[in-house]
Amino acid sequence: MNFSLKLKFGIILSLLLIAILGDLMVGSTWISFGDLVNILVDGKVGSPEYFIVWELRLTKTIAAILIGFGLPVSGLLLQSLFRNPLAGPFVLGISSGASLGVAVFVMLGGAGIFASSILVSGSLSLFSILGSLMVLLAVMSVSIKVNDTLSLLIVGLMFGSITAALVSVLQYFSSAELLQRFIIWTFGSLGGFRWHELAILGVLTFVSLIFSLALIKPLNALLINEDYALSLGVSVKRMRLMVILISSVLSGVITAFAGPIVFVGVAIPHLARNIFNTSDHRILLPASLLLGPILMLVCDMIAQLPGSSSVLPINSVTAIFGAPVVIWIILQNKRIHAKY
Amino acid sequence: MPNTKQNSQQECLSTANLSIGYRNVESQHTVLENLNLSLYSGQLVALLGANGSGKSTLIRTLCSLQSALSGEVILPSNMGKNTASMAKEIAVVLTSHVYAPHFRVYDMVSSGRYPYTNWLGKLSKQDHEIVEHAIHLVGIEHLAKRLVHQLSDGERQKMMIAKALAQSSSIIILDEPTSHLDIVNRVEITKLLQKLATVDNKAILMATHDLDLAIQSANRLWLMDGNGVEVGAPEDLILNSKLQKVFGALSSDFDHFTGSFKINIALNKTIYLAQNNASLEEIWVEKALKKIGYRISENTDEALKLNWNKEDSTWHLKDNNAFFQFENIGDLIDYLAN
Repeated sequence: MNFSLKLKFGIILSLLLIAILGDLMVGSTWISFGDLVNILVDGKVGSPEYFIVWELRLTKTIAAILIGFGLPVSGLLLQSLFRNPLAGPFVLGISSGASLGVAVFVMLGGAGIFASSILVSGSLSLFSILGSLMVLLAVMSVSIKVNDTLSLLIVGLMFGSITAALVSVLQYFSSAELLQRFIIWTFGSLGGFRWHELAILGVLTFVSLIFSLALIKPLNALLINEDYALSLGVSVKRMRLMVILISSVLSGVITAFAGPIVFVGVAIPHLARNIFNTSDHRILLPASLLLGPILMLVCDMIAQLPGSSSVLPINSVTAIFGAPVVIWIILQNKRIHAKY
Repeated sequence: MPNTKQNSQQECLSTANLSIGYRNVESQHTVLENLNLSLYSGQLVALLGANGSGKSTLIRTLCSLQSALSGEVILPSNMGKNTASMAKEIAVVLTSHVYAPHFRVYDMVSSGRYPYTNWLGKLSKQDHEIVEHAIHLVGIEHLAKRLVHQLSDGERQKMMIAKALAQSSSIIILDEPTSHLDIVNRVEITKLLQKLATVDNKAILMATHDLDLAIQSANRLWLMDGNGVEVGAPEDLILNSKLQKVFGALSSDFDHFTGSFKINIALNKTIYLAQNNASLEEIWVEKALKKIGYRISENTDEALKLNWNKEDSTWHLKDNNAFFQFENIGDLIDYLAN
C-alpha cells in the first residue's frame, strides 16, 4: 500500500469518526462532546441526555452506519456485474421490489409495521428480501436474452414500474390507517429502529459483507471481460448468483426497516472510484464501506435540521444530496464510461 | 531414421469425435462434426478457413468458452471440465474487446496469474518474476506502466500474448491475433509465436487469415473446408492441392511457387519497355502496367514505347508518333488507362 493510498484512507477514516460523533451530538437537543463522552463511558442513568443518546440517537447512528455499509456494497457489486455506471439497487428496480414485499406484508398481513416483536420484524424483512429477489431474478433472466446493458436498465425500470403499480393497487384497496403507515414508511426513516431490528440488519449485513469479500478477485477479473474471466477460471455463473443474492438481501433488509433510500447505492461507488482513481475492488470495496456511512451520517445530520424539533424524511435528503453528487461526478470526468 | 524432435513433441490437447456448433432450446446448428485433432508441444499450428467456416466456434469450444455438441476435448490432466484447473493448462487470446479501466499493462499481464494467486489476488514474488519474464519475452518492457486504453492495436495484442504467457500454460490458443494489425506488426507477432513454440516448447494454435505468414511460419495447418478439418504441413497441403481447394474460388490466382495469392488481371494490351539496366524503376513500372492490363513486349514495333530516362529522371513515352514525358508512374498510368 503506497503513501497516498494510506493518506486517503486515513482522512476518510477520520471523517467517519467525526461524522459518527457529530451524528450523536446533533439533534433537537445539542449534546456537547464532553457530555457525550460522559454518557457513553459511564453515564448518569436516568438523565434525559442519557435517554436521548442511548435510546434515540445511538440506534439511529448505528442504523445509518449499517445502511451506509449495505447500499454502496450492493451498488458496487451490481455496477461491476452489469458493467454499467447506472446500475444500483434503486435503478434496477430492486428497491421497488422490496417496497412491494413490504406493501404486501403491511396491507395484506395487516400486522403493524410498528409492532415490535422479532417475529414481525423478521417476517417483514423476509417479505422485503423476497420482493427484491423477485425483481432481481426477473432482470437477470432477461439479461441472459439481451446482452446490452442499456436494454437491461430499461427492463429494470419497467419491472420497477410494474411493482410500483402493484403497490398502488394495494394502496387503493387498503384502509386509511394502513395506507398512512405505508406512506410514512416510504419517506424512509432512521429513527424508528429498535435494537432487535438493528440486530437483524447487522447480522445480515455482516454475513453479506463476508460473502462479498470472496467476490473481490472474480470481479477484478470480470473487469477485463466475461470471456477472459471464464478463460482465467472464474465461475461467472456462480459469481452472478452470489451478486444477486447479496444485493437482494442487503437492499431487501435495509428497505424493509428504513424505507426505500435512494441514490446512496449508486453514488458512493462512483465517489470511491473518483477519489481513488481505480477500478480495483480490493480498494473500492473498503472505500465504499467507509464512504457510505459518512454520507448516511451527514444526510442524517441534515435531516435532523439542527436546532429544530422537526425531522426531514431521510429519503428526500439522500436524493437531494445524492443526485448532485452523481451530476458532479459526470461533470468531473465527462467520460464516465472510461471507468468501466 | 531416428527423430529426436518428434520425441520432444508431446500431445497436449486432443479432441475425440468432437462436434461443434450452437444449441438453443428449439434447435441445434452443427458447424462441424467428428473432429479428431491433436495439438503438440513445440508446434505452431495455424487454423485457416474462409469467413464463417467455424474457426472461432472451434477455438471457443477448445477453450471451454462454449460447450461441445458432442464428443470431448481431452487435456493431459483430464480436468477439462473444471475451469479453474483448465486455466493453468490453456491460455487464450481472443478477439473480443478488452476494456479494463485504470488497468496498466503490468496489471493486465498480471491477470494471467489469476489461477495461481490467493483469494485477494495478491501476487507473490515469484508471480512478479513470471509477469516480468512474460513482458520481457514479448518485448513490451517500455509499455509496462502505460494505461491499457492508450495502447495501439499491435501493442494491445502483444500485451494479451504476454498475459497468456504469464498464465504459465502449456497451450496458448489465439483467435486472429494479427487481424487489424499492419504488416510490420503481423510479421512481428507471427515471429513471436513461432519463437514461443520452438524455443519455449509451447503448443500454439492460432486462427488467422494471413495465408502467406501461416505458410512461412506454421509447423502444421488446420484447414477448415466446410466438411471437416484437413491437417498437414503447409508444404504438403499445397502439393496435394488441399489448400487451393479450400480457397476454391480463388485457386486460379494461387501462385504455386510462392504459396501466396496473386491478383491476376487479363493482359490484353501490349507496350514496349526498353530494358537496358533492369533498374528498380523498370520492375515497378511493369507491376503498375500489369494492373491496367498491359503486357511487356520485346517487339520494338509496338505502337507504345516506353523508357526510363536516367538523365532527367522521367518516363519517355512514344504513343505512335506523339511524344510524352512523365515525372512519375502515377501520371503515366493515368494517361495510359485513358
